[in-house]
Amino acid sequence: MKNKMLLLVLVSLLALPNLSFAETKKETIKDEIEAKRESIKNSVEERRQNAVDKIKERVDQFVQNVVNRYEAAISRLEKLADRIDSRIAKMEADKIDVTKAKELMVKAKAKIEIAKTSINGITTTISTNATTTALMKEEFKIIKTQVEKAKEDIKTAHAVLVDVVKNLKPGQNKLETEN
Amino acid sequence: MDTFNPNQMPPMSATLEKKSMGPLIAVIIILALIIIGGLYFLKTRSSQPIYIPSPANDTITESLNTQSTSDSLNSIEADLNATDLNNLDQGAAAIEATLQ
Repeated sequence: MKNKMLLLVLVSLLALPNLSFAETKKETIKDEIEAKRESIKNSVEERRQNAVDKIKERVDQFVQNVVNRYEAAISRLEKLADRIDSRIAKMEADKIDVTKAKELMVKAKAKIEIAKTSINGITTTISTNATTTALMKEEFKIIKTQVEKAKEDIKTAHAVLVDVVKNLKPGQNKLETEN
Repeated sequence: MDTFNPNQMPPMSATLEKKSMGPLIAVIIILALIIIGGLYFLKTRSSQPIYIPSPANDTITESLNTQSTSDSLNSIEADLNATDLNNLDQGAAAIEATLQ
């Protein structure tokens, strides 16, 4: 009996450090798993953020391109308006009635100004608050509406300039027949 | 005369097990290849630079910036007719697709 007790104590003494070591090892593995999990989480978040940044950059660049095109279109219409003004002045000097054409020119220039205002109203960058594609989509909807409105205004200004030229045609034909 | 000896028969369960493992391994390999292929495709696609025309080489802007200086009605009319305003917002659909 005494021997048995002694054996038991001996076994306990031998087993205790092993148990403690196993516990420490378990703790270390747990920490490692936790660290790994955190690292994967950060990596996923970083990738998601990079993807969102790329999309944002693309949207911003697209809007900037569209605004550049619109500004080029406005510049073109203004140059056309100047050329028409020059033609009107020459026809007026030739005693051609250009009253209606002049009225239409006033209208055309007003429409060009309206188009310019619409272009200035276009939001050229997605806000920093749009941190997800869903939020960016919502913002892009608004930008798209602004872009479409500006395009319609440019088209309207262009249409009025076409009307001015149409209005000047009979007078021009008359001049050509006389000469 | 042949007599039936069960010890001479091949072990049925082992053969069946071998047979059923073959297609399973094939399916696993095919699935793994599909997954690897898909991941490769996604990686390649995401690393591809997206072409967005810069103002310097945008043909639409270039064509808008080109016009005659003549004030003859025919010349003005020709330039007005050549003014294409329908494609100014070209690319919006692609952006919307990106945001889907």
